[in-house]
Amino acid sequence: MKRRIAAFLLVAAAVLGASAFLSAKSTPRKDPYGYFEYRRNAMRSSFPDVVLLTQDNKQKRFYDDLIKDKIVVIQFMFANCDGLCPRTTPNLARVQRELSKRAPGKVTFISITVDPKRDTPQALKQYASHFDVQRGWYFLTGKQEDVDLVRRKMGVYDPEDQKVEHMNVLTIGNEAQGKWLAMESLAKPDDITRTVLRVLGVPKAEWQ
Amino acid sequence: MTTRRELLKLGLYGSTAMLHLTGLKLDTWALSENKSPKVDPRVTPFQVDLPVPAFKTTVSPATLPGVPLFNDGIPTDYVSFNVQQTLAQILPGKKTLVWGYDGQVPGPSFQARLGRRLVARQQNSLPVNINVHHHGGHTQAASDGSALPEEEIEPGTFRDYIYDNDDDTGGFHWYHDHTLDQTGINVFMGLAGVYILTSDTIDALNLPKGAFDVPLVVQDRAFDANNQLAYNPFDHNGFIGNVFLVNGAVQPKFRVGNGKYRFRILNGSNARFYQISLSTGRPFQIIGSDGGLLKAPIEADQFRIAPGERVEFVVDFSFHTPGPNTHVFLNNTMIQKEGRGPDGVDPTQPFPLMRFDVLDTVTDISTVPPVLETNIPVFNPKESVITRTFEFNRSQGAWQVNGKFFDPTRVDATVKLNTTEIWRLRNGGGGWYHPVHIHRNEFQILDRNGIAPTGAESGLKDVFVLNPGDEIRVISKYTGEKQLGRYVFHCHNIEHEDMRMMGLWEVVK
Ligand SMILES: [Cu+2]
Repeated sequence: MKRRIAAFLLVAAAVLGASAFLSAKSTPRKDPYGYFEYRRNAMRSSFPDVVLLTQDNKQKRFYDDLIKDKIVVIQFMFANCDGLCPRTTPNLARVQRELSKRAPGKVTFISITVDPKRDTPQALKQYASHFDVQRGWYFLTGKQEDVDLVRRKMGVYDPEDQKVEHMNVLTIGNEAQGKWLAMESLAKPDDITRTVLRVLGVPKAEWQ
Repeated sequence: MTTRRELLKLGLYGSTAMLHLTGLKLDTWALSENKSPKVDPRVTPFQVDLPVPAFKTTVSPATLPGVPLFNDGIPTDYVSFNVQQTLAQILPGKKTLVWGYDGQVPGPSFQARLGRRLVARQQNSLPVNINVHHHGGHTQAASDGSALPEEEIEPGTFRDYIYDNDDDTGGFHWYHDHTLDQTGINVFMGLAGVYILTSDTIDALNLPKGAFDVPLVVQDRAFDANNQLAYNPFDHNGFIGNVFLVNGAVQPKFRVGNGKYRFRILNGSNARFYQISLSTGRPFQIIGSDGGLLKAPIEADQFRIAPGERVEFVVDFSFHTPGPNTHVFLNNTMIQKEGRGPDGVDPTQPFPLMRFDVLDTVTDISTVPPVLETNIPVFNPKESVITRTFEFNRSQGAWQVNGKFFDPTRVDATVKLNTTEIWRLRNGGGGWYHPVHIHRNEFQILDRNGIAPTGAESGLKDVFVLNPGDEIRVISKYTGEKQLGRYVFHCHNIEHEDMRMMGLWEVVK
């Protein structure tokens, strides 16, 4: 039990640190039962720690390097998509610009290709260059089976057509608090921005 | 030799199965991935007595600083809740962290009366935002708990909800969390309770009362290796559990006498449907639906109940000789492997949700009157000013209404006060089930695929199950000067709702 409390205090310290940076008004949330740690552990198996490659051809562990302790917005896409992706990525870019003002450096954006065979790091870099993508946005590729595992664990696959169909789903989370939700990739940038701020724990007086 | 069927009866079938404990780590999501959830092996049925949630007692408004006071002559009662975390003994061994209104799961029951206003203070002592919805109530917009983020109660703060109780009839309502994007986990953690709205006309009926009038909140849950609730917010199709609770207890037993009981059953599950029957096969009297009592009782030996729905029924145990071995099981015969929807009824696989132990000899003077509710409003289709169509569909793995996701700033329908409207609810396909809930009003189902409703569906309703391929027409009149403003309607498969299968509508003068 002591260990649990200690672990919780570490998490709380991390969260408090983030909030304090974000906003003077934001207060630490009381969590005497270790709810956040429990939820964090419960969600742990949803993020396989597979090695993926960024658009800069750097290796990143999916959980340890990209998810752990972070506030993340995760999108699944592929560069040759002529369906939703061409609209969802610029939509997300607007969200990133807005969040860079309201919570600078706090939110990590992740786009994972569902077509890793075609989407090499170079192809993803080329794709990202079409949009106003700022720092803190990773475009990821990897082994097909690793990408498929991530999709399956994150519930972002279609039971009808697991291969091609990618989803109109944006996953937003606060890893340290185990707080996760999914919403539409094409929601208004304002709506997505506000949702991320809510997940961050920003008081409603500040996002209203 | 114990047969499979007997094991099923005992709730033990599947106890050898499926969940592999490896040290302390249990891959809880195996449950949703293996598509065949069996009963949790840690569970032994009929060990605990059915908890019956106590009625919430009123307090003086003087004890609630800042609470709204009224001098309009309408009698007003005040109640105060603390929404808090607590540890509950659900499984054997380690206790489970739960969230409850007053720390209870389900929460204390509201006891309300038509014509008496009730003000409920909800103090949030949880570490997350909450929003309390009165499901079934004809509630003012600001007190409805309609998933609007600006209405959320932040940790350490409270909100006062005003319930006018000016509905057309009394009814078996409930209250539960309705926080945008987070309702699934908040309800799963325990934020649900019963709201009983009675009236003088209902009280005048000689139905079973007091200890013979019992709410049954049925919910499925899943637990991790540490006995903690194992909710997966990534199960976007609908979360299905493998432990069955009635009023928060695992497959409880309930001591009854050889008389009539009025049971009010609420399906408080996130995504699971049930088919309810008695192990005796005996018929019972269905007396109520979502929105109140029926015009007249309907004899039935089973019924389906979807997430959010309520059914009231009277069971007569007088056919049984009281004794230690006289057991009647409340069975579920609905097979459901995933959130998509039920797979169908299998009468050869009854699963006991609870057990009635007929032990006591009682004198029963109650009756089931041939005429029940006399104040059910009649909505006239000829008066309808508009027919709106809402299609509930799936788009690339996410859930939509009319091709749109919920946007808390976009009004999808504007209704004029005191008009009658017909809403056509349509299933957008793919084999999915959507139990659609509309806030604020009670409705009459005009027809389901062109056919008039039967059973509990013939009464007042606020949840309408869209089976695959279904089209339902529902009608209501939008009365109530106090109930102006914004409300929602949504799928009550909560995982669909959390992915914003929801619409915003507004009542204007
Ligand atoms: Cu649905």
